[in-house]
Amino acid sequence: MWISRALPGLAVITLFSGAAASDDPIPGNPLIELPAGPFVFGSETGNENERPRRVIEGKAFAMNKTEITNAQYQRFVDATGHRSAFYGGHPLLGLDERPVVGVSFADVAAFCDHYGLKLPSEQEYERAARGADGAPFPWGDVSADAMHVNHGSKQCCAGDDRDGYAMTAPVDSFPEGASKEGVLNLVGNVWEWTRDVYAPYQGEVPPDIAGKYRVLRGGAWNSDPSHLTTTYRLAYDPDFRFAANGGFRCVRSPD
Amino acid sequence: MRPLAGLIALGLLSMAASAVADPVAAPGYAMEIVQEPGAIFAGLARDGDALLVTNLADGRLYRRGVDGELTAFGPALPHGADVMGDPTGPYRVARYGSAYIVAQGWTPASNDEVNYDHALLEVDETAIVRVVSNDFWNPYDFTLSGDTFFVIDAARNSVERLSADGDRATVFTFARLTASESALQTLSPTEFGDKQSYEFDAVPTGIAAHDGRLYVSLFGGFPFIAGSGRIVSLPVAGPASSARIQATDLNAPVDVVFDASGDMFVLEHGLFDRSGAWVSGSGRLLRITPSTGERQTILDGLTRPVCVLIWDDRQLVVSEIGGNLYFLTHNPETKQE
Repeated sequence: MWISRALPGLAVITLFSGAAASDDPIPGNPLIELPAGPFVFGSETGNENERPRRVIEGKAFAMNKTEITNAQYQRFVDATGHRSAFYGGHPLLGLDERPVVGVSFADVAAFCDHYGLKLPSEQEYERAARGADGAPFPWGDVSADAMHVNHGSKQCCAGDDRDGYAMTAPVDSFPEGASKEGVLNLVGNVWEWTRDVYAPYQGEVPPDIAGKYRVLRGGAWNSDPSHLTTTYRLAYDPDFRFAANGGFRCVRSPD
Repeated sequence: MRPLAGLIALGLLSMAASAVADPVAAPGYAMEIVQEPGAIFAGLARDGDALLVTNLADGRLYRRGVDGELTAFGPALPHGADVMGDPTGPYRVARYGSAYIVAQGWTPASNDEVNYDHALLEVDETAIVRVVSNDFWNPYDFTLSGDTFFVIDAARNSVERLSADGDRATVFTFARLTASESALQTLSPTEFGDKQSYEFDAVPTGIAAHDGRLYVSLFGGFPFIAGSGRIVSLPVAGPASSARIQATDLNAPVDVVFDASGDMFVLEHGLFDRSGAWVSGSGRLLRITPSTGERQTILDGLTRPVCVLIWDDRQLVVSEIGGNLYFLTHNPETKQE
């Protein structure tokens, strides 16, 4: 027996504080322009692999306002014959407006490529999620709570519905958690694949991991506070396509 | 010790699509394969000279007589894909007096929940006679000891005692199992690279009553690490605290039975490949001699087997999700010692 515990009635309000790109390859998911300029990258207070904190000169890019939805992913599947998302038929995870989950790195890279886009780099993710000044969260300094983010239990790693959703939330939920530019759910809801190969920012790469893993960012609906940060780096086998909490969005990037 | 921290998967997963050769029986065993395209075979039971088989593809019970024909009987029970896309419906069946008892799985994802879901049902040749109890989450298997049913609840991770009039009580709830995180370092070095241990659900599947004890196969939940499954036993009567580990180092054991000599047969669902789900041809039927721990692979190369039945002192039957039944006949004269 499986019972939906999603709660009705959450406000779904759209913010438009960022500038939308002139054309949006993915219908219903505008690209939000993020300007060039210096921004803070990395952290001295998180895990060792998040160090060092430094300022980087970033190029302008544009990022999907929301995570890619099941409906958007299905249109890609229909158009290309690419395999479906693993949880596309799930009664909750597979709902049209929820973020697609159950996709490998190759799946999501193919999606973005189909629309002439890329997966974000880790630097692009952090610029979008932390702003230029390295804020802890997209919405500012207030810690992750049910107002701002679809999160999990306080103790790792179960989903709960204190935020209104037992599992994933519609991609335009949690408007209070939007970034300054209006990008939604950069923390929580689903981990998001980046295009970067995992390696520590400093020091040598251990040979047993070199080149093998891709990085996901942002935490998910089952994440505890230690994973719901803008700097936590989750390295995963890129072939893994069974994650019920792993999704993505795309960017238009000059790199 | 901690639960999985990063990406998580839900439920059991689909099988790899690669084609494989037919399974291979051990020397001394003759094998007959019955294939029924479109069928999703699950539970097996003996009813006199007939073999009873459940089919999750249409929710029906089938009887295979001496002529080899499969004939449907009883009601069409709820069936379909569960929330994870795996088939659900009448998991198991057994003769019960003049009727039959069916372990009916959890609600198909496309159906509204009905009284017959996640239940033990009594059915006759045409209809559901009564709901013995639907106070289960996912009753995957059961065994009858005297007038008492012992039911595996694969979602509660428990063994439930059920009286014939429907009173249910939990006999034993299995704790989450632990494994070294080194086993998962290949999945994620940031989550599993610190040499700690992690937990996963025990997920009981099969149950057999033997020599005053209940033997339970613990499948082990995601990520279905090779060798993490085990067989445990509990006393049929008395304190369940005297549980024992009977066998370890098993690959997703899905059923356990005993033959008349006391040898234990364990059906392994197979190996899980993170890039391809359940690996085709990786399921096995093992014969384990409890007194010595000696293991023999009786049938190798199975793809998602579900149930094993000891037919008599020479014959046994194995079912596969893919609509296959394997009939093995042991010829003692050619037994490999």
